[in-house]
Amino acid sequence: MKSLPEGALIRSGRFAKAGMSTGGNYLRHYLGNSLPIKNLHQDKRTLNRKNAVSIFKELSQLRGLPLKLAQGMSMDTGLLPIEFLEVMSSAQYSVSPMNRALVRTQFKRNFSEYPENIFQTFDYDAFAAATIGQVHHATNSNGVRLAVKVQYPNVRKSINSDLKLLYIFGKQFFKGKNFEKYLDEVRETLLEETDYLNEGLNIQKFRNIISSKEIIIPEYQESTSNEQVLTMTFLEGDHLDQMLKKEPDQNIKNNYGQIMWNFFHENINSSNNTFHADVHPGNFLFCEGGKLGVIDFGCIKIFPDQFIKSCLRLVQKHLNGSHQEFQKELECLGFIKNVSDLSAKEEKIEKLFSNLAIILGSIYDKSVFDFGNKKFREDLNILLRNAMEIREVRGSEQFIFFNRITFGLMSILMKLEAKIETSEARGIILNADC
Amino acid sequence: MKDKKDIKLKIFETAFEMYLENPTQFSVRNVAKELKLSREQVYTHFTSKKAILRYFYQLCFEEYINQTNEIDRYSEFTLEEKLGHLVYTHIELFQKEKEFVESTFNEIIFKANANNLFQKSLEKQVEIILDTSEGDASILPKKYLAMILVKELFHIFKFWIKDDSEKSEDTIELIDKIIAFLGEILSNQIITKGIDLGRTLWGQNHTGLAPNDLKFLFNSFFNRFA
Repeated sequence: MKSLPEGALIRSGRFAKAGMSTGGNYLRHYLGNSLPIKNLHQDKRTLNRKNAVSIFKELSQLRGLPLKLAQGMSMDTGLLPIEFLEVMSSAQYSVSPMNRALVRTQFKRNFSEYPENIFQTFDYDAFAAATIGQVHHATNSNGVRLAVKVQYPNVRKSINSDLKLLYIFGKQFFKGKNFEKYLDEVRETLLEETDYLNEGLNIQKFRNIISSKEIIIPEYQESTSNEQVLTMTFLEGDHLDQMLKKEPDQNIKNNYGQIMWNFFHENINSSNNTFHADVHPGNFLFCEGGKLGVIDFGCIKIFPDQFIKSCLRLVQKHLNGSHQEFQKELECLGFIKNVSDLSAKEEKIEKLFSNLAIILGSIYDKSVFDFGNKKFREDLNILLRNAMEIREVRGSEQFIFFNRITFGLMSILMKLEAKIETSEARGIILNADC
Repeated sequence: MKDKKDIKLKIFETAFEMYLENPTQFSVRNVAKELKLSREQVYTHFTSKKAILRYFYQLCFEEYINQTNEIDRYSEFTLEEKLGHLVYTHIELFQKEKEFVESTFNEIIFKANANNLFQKSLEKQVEIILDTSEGDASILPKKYLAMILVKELFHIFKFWIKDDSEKSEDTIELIDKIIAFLGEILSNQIITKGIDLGRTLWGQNHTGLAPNDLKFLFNSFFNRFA
């Protein structure tokens, strides 16, 4: 009875349900193929849309990890048909909310007070859903507008049970002995995210690290926060899609893109290797006056110094055009085995990384790079699709979040179609001491 | 009138403290002695020793009603929210005296005669909540539905008593899920349609069951709630 509410089986039922209805839709599609259908291509598009809707409907009802997966899939990585992305990114900010009675009791149990006794005003209808909590408007006694994030009940337990499931499914899909090691990395980071006091400290840390005046970070309100409730000042701004809908000038898009680009490259220079590791559109606000708001600091990675250095070395070797040393670095990072005598499979993997380096390296080739470049996007998509065929996980577990950062950033910049000044970043990388 | 209630409260408070300190010391005689009352005077307020302890639960219910009246937009709450508010508030109030609830709930509420005031008040309140909803909840016999729900509620309380998760997170999640499920059933017409289907099967004898078999089926179904 006790394990029932967060039991892996119940949730797996939902996973299966999502999978099954996808199967059903595809079945209809293939059956439909034997019938004379005039516009097959159009038909496939509507099918993809149907699938996307049904998968997202199931996944987004599960608070926590599945939503995270859904968000991950919705990043434009080329692994999914474009119709999936449309549906998912539109649904990205809406999860089934906690009702008013539940929000009240979450407060009472954490503060021994109801929200209306803590804040001047508190809006019980959440205005946004984060992966593990939902966000409410409030004001404090000075009339300052606040964003209050309230965590869903029992999130920690469901993360654990979801990861067990992911382990079962993942083991079928990925070869490699150390699959567990990668899941542990995910688990640790996700569990850290459930501690809102920790997120509060992260906010303060980033307010200290980030010197740029173009980046706005909310103020943490310690007195009205605890492990499951996080209060910060409210930032006004548009989400990526809302901003793009207004059809902004190319200059405006370039400006936002550049700020975001610099935000991540400056992190390389900051001595403590601290990165914002949850790079998806919901966590950034495009504010007035060309400023960028960063609003979620739950997922922060402090990478080991050695790791960052070897990544930088890899990029340095590539940019300097020394292919042999580049290969050696790949071996050091555990991506290819036995570099002096490559087997056919290793050669395939080596080729993949070389191509990735060429594609990503092209960003730094000239002083300005255009992320609206269709060819760049297509090349990246083809490459990532090929990478999925290998079905093996290799290299440091640190790459899970490193990749989330890299591809998350690319994805947003591509959506912005921004032209980015990259020579300074090239300098940072080439001059980095590693 | 106010005096009478004051004395009643005084008797309860004395008894409550006495019980928490040492349950074996707690008796009507000792409570009366402490308050310099006669036993008869105590019995005019409470029918039995257990009834004094049971008053704790009634006070929780009254506090829940007070809190409900203070909520600005309570009338806008959905059926699920109203039911949720009822359960959560009781658990919050019980939490303050968890030890007491742990040692008394089973004996003086769960196993007790269903005619006690606490249970009756809850049933009445659930009935009022159900009254405001649409769907099946509005055609089912609310009185019986409320009785069943309150019995289920008592099972939730028992679950909570045994719940050792941090801040009773397991219970809170379970309540959320149960109420969402219940809300789904009560706000659609699954039961009406079910009865409709049953009638058709009965009328056309599609079931292949003899009337006696069906009677047995219904009896075994309803006996579960009896």
